[in-house]
Amino acid sequence: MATFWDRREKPYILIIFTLPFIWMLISLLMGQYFPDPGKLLMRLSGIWASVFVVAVMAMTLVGKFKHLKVINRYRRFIGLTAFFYGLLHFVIYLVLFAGLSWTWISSDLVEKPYIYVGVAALSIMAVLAITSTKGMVRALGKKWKPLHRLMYLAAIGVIAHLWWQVKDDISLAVYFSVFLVPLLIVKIPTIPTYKKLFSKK
Amino acid sequence: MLIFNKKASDCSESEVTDKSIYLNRRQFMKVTGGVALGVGGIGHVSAALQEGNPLSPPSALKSSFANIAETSFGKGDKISPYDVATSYNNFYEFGYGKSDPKDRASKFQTTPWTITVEGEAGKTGVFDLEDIIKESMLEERIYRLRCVEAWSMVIPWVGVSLATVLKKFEPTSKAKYVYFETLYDPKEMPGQRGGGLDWPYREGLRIDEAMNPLALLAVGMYGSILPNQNGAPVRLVLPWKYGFKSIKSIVKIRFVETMPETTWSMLAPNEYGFYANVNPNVDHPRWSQKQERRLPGGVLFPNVIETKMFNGYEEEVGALYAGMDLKRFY
Repeated sequence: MATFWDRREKPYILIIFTLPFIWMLISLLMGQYFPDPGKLLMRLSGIWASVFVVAVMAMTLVGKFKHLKVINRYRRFIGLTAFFYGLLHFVIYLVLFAGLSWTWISSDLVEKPYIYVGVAALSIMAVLAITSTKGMVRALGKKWKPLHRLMYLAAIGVIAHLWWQVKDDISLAVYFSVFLVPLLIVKIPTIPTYKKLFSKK
Repeated sequence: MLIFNKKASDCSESEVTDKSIYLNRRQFMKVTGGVALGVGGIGHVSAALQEGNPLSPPSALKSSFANIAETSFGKGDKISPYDVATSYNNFYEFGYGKSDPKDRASKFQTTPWTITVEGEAGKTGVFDLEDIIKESMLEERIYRLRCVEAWSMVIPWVGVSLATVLKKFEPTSKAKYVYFETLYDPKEMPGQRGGGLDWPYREGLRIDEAMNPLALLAVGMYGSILPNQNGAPVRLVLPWKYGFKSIKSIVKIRFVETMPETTWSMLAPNEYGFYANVNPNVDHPRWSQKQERRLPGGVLFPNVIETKMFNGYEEEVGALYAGMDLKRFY
């Protein structure tokens, strides 16, 4: 078992994480999303981004189980994958959905709150991705951990983004909230402001 | 369908295809063919091409209407391929997904079909569809269809002007509005088993909107009967309004004095108004309506075009809304 979980398996993990992307790409080129690929792919990439956001958020809990501790090794990997799918979602919006039409994009930006929370969540994840390298971890020192706690804010952004754009089918927003909301709630006692309230006297 | 029995002596589909449609088809093949070659093996796209003529329905649907009056609408618009118009549908009675209607509606029974007419009219009661719409009355109308979700298509419908039909029921002066209802049958329509929308699907028009010559009561498209996923056997087509106003599979028409409640405006009145006129100047709360994606687009880039006031039918319907604040009555 020990050798199996050696870092050499990382390329395989990478393949697993990129499978949804490869699947989307092949389906796109096969014409599966015809005639309106932008709309469907935006949804699919958003779903996968949310899946990995849930995964990375669940890390703090999962990593506490002794037998699952090994997963902590992939924490950064999972986080980066979440950012990758978030970025993909954004690019698909720009290119496949809005056709890089500035008129479309700028008028979407006028007063569409769910776009802003999405962009905010993605920006946070971008900062976290940039500061995820070993060098950055060292350089930031004690500031690194509080900075990366911003992921909780990004997760709240994801939930808001999902609920805000519901047309009629609320299932997606419900599914992801079911996972994310409890993960967020269990973290409340660890927020510095509330720490005293929950700490044992 | 009962009314469209085709005699063996009737001319076939290919004989009635006019030249402009034929040329359209070549244009379509050129465009998508190029894309297909560019990317290689585009399953769905090439399936549309293999159909031969994407503007003629598959042989299974060939109960063609022999003498459809030609249209003066749709000049210069490239008709969307049949495959696109019949596989990309919003028909929540059969599911939320765009492909759900096609996948789930094939067994939907559309014959016999009756329409109940109620309310402020001289002639009310239950009528057989074929008594309301005779084959001899049919005409083709090539209309642009703009969905509130910002995609659009161009579809050659076959039907009768709605006014012609409504007048037969002799609406009284009290009939200020006309209300429509879709079939409610959760056994046949799986989407109705769940929540989501308040079934049955309801729509309504002001009587002068309904009497506008542009309003069409459609029983066919692409020279043949309506496929189930497109609202068989009879639906409205209101090209200057967002697609959701064009109610499908109509079973009830009621002439009423007051503005009727409509499904989408009941669910989210701030998002979907009663009028639902296509208007690039009034955004949906969650997205812009200034532009639209005309389907089908390319594989990588959508075919983004400007949305026109009343979907480009301002000349025909603008007078209906003269003096109205369309930001308030959206």
